[in-house]
Amino acid sequence: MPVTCARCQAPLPNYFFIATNPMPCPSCGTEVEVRVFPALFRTSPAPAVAELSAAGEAGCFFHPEKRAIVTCHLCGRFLCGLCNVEFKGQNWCPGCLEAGSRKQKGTDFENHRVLYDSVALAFATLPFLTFFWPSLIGAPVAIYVAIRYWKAPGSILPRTKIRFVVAILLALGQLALMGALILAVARAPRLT
Amino acid sequence: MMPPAVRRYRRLPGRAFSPISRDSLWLAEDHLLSVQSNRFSETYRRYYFRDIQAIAIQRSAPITPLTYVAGAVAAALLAPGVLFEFQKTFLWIAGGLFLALTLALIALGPTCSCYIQTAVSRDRLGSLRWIRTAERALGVLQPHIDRVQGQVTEDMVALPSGPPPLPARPLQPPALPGRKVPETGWGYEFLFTVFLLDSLHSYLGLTQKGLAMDIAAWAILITEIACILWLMVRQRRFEVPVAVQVVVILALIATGGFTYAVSILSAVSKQLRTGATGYLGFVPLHITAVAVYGVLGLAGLILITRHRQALSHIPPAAPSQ
Repeated sequence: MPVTCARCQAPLPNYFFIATNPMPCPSCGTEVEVRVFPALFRTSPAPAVAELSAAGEAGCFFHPEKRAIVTCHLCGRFLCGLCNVEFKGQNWCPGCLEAGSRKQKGTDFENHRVLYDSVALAFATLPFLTFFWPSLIGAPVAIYVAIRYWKAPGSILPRTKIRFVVAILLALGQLALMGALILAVARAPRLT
Repeated sequence: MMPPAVRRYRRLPGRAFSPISRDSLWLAEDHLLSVQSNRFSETYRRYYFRDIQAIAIQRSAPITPLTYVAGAVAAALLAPGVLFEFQKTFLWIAGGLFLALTLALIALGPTCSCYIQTAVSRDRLGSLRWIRTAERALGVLQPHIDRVQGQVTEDMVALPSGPPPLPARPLQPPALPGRKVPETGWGYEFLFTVFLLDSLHSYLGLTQKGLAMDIAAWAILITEIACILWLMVRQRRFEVPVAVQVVVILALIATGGFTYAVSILSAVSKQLRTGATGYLGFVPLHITAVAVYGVLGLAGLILITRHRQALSHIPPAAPSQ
C-alpha cells in the first residue's frame, strides 16, 4: 500500500519520506508531512507452507499428513505451518485463539467494552435532570446496574469506580427525596 | 484475590470531544491503542509498533471555518450590546463567551488530519486535530516505533538520481479513486441568483410593504439557507474553487447576521414603541442588505462562471498510442 496524500489519495513521491518539513502534495497542493518507518519497505513474507510429514514424524493435529513444527502454547497440540498463529511471541492454534477471543481472556483480544459505570451514572442523572419524576425508575435501575456490574470488567484504560459510587449515592438521594415528597403530599391537609 | 490492576496504558496528547463521542490515543509497551468512546462503550483498535508503516499529517488552513463563525457570532452579539441598552448584560456575556472561543481557537493554531498506515489499513487518528498536539504526540510515539523497527535509511527510500522534482500544481489533476470530482451542477448559479433577488427585494422593501413582500422575504430566506446548507454538504464530495466556498460561507454569515439583526431591532423597537413605520435602523439595514447580497451574488456568479470556463478550456488528453 503506497503512502498517499490524505486529501486527494494521490501516491506521494519518495522525497516526501526524507523531508523534515511539510511539503505540498504534487497533485492537490495540500501541505502534507509524512513520517515513514522501515515496515513500509519490508517485503511481504512468503505465505506459510506446510511440508508433508515423513514416516515416523509428528503430524499436525488438524492436518495429520502435514509435519508439525511447533506446539500450541496453551493446549499443547502439534501444529503445522498453516495452523500456527504467532501472536505476541507465542504460538497459538486456531481453536485457542478463537476461544481466547470469545472468552476475552486478556485485553489484547478485546476490541469493545461496555462502560457500565457510565451507564449507571446516566440512569442516576439524566431522568432527574430532565423530568424529575422518571427518576423513580431511573434511580433503582442505576443502583441495580451499579451493584450487578460492580465487578464486571470496565474500560481497559486506567479508570476508578468513582462513577459507580456517585451513581449509587445520587440514586439513593433521589429515592430519599421522592419518598419525602410523597410523604409530604400524603400528610398534607385536604381542602375539601 | 484479584491481582492488582496493571497500568498498561499511558495517554498520548490529544483528545477529541463531541457531545456523543470521544477519541483518544494510548501508548502500551508494544502497540498504540486508538479508543473511540460513545460515553457508554469503548471501541479499541491496536496498531502494533512493528506494523506501522507511515503516519501522515495533512495540514489545514491556519484559521478554520469554525473560528470565522465563532468570530461572526461574537461580533453579532457584541455589536447590539454596545449600540443599544436592550438586554445588554446577556449580549455582553454571550458575546464575550464567543469572543473567548474565537481567541482560544486562534491560539490553538492550525488544525490537521492525521492518518496512520499499516500494510492492510489506513485510518484517521481522530484525537489528533491540532498540529501542535499531533507533533507532541508523534514526538512521544516515534521513539517507540524506532525502537522496534529501527531507522529509515536512504537505501530503503531509494531516491531517484538527481534533484527531486519541484512540486507543482497541475491544472487538472489526474482522476484518482477517492478524490473530489469537479462540480458540474447548477446549484451555485441558482444560489447566487437568489442573492441578487434578495438584493432586489431589499431594495424594493425600502418603499413597498405588504403581505406579498413578507411572503417573498420568507421564501427567499428559506431558499437561501436550504441552498447554502445543501451546497456546503456537496462541497465535501465535489471540488469547488476556494473563492466560491468563501462566498458561500460569507453568505451564510450574512444571512444569519441580517436575520438576527432584524429580530433584535424589531424587539428593541417594540420596547421603545417607535411606531408602525418600521424598526430602528430599517433604512440603513436594507441598504446594507442590498449592497451585501448584490456584491455576493455578482462575485459568486463571476467566480463560478470563470471556474466553468477554465474547466471547459482544458485540452483533452492525448490519445495513448
